[in-house]
Amino acid sequence: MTINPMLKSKILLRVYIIWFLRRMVPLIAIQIIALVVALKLFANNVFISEVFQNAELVASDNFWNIFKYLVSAFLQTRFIIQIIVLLGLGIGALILRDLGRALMTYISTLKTKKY
Amino acid sequence: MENQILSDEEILQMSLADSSHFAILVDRYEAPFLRKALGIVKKQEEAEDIVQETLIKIYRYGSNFKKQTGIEFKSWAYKILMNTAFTHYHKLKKNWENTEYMDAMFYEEEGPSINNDLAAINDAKATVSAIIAKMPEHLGKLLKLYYLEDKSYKEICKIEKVSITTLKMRLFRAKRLFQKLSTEI
Repeated sequence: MTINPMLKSKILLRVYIIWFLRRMVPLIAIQIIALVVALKLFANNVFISEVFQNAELVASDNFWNIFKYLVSAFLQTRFIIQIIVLLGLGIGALILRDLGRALMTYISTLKTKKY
Repeated sequence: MENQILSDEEILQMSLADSSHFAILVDRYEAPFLRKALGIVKKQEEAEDIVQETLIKIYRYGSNFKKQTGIEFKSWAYKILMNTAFTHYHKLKKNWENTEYMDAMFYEEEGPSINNDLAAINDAKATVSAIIAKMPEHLGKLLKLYYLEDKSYKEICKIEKVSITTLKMRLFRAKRLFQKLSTEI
């Protein structure tokens, strides 16, 4: 009896797809919905194109000025907007973390392990 | 080394959280499953399909598996394997029966491969018949009628003069006994 070396890879790929659909898809979907809501609230409360125009004006000097401008704009805005921005950044970070986790699991699932 | 100490149940639970751990179970069961499946279908590709389906089912329904006294992961896994193999064999048999033959000229050219399929099916049929022969007559007969002769529930009820509920119950018992006997082979 010979064991097809592709069999294990096929099984593990299908197992990974099940894991991804079960664990990652619902989580990432909820995070994306929350991010969209946060961005929508942000767009309703902040005149974004004005912010970018101002940023463009200060950017003529250097990028450090853009950062300083964004920080000062953030600090001077209303408390609710600060919360929305922090929420958006937090959710964005969570999405990146979960995508990274999905990628790492994909790599380690398909990597041939010797036990 | 650490993985050798972990039980199958623990690995299954770990793999539900991180699918990469499932590779350990694949390593442990791939070869014995393949050997068992080959004993039923006698064809490498068919046996590989059965092993693949079985391991996917184990992962998919892994969250339903609860370790109880007397119920080991191994016996649960083998039960899935036998059910899958049996269903696969049944499908194979149906496909073969629904096959229309090609023109005689092509049929002669394709002869050896078709004969091989036929031989594999006949071998599997012989294995199944051997197991059925070991069963009590009334249960073995039901399996024969339903799976080998493809009779419907209604037809079998008429032959056996029993109600559908009784028939379903007997078939369930017959299948369970069949699985038990086939794992002993």
